[in-house]
Amino acid sequence: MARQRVLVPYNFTIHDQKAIDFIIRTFLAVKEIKFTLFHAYAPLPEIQTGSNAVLGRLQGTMMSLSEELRGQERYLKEGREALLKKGFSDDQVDYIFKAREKDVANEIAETALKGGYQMILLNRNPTKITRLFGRSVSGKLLATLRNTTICIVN
Amino acid sequence: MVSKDKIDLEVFKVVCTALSQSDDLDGMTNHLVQLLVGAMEIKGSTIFVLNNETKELEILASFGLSPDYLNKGPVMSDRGICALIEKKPILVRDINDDDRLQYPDEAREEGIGAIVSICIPFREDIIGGLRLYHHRPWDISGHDLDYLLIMAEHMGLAMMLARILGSLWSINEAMDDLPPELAPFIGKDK
Repeated sequence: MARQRVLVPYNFTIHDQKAIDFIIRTFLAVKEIKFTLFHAYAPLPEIQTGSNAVLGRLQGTMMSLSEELRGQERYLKEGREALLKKGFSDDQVDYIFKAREKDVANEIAETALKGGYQMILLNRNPTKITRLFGRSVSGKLLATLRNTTICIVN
Repeated sequence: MVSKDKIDLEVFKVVCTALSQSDDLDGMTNHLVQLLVGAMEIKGSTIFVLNNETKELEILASFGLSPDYLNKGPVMSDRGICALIEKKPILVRDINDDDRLQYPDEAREEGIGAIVSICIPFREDIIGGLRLYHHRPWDISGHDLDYLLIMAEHMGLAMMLARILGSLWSINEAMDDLPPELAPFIGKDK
């Protein structure tokens, strides 16, 4: 039987931990399932320096920050390690760490479609006011994706 | 103690361009905190939104701080160094010499030496906060603080615009889901 593939958007917050806890509680005994932790980071802005010395210096500083940005991959590795420690096998958990090219919902939808994921495991906190400052990721995924199970850990 | 002007008109223009050119608040605020960390050569920066019901400052975007620090616990608007109470910037020049921090041990563990906390206003209300974190004790210049206050006002406008656009999207989606039988009642053709 082919393994079910589950995409788990992961932003290193305590709410993401709820999704991880749900995976452990619900799927630890299931062998025919594979999880992919997914994080798309906001890339650094491009700076048009021209011949301006101040902006040239800023561009140099920003380049050094890109190392720090890529260093966030370690937090994704830690999330994967946490699942392995709980008993998932090495081939049951992987991760995707990439620079964001579009908004978060579109990044998740595109990854799910291209990767042939059957399920997306999201978390949400309905009391958060930040949800009012943009389109809901879960709402957008529900409206966009067909034939994909979207599981929301509230 | 570090104190030197870091923001000039060219840097300010870059930040304002980041603010005005993005229609995605998440992308815009992330670029903003990244630019501030780069321009001011500081450890990190965070933009918060104020939740008036819970009095909590919720993180909208952050750069340079570890998940452990960001998950340390709720940042309350009526405790600690929240600028929202006094409606003016709060400068913690040296965290080891200031008893106003809500999470002083966590700040020390994170390697934070100083914090600047600024309100994000929208008209007469405070809707969020901007915080800058330096590795070392820091006496931010008045010149840079003035620039940051102007940026915070722009941020408030951009955040409210994003909120209004978000509401419009929701209304639009709800209208699309209405059964066609109701179309005549809202002045739309079937």
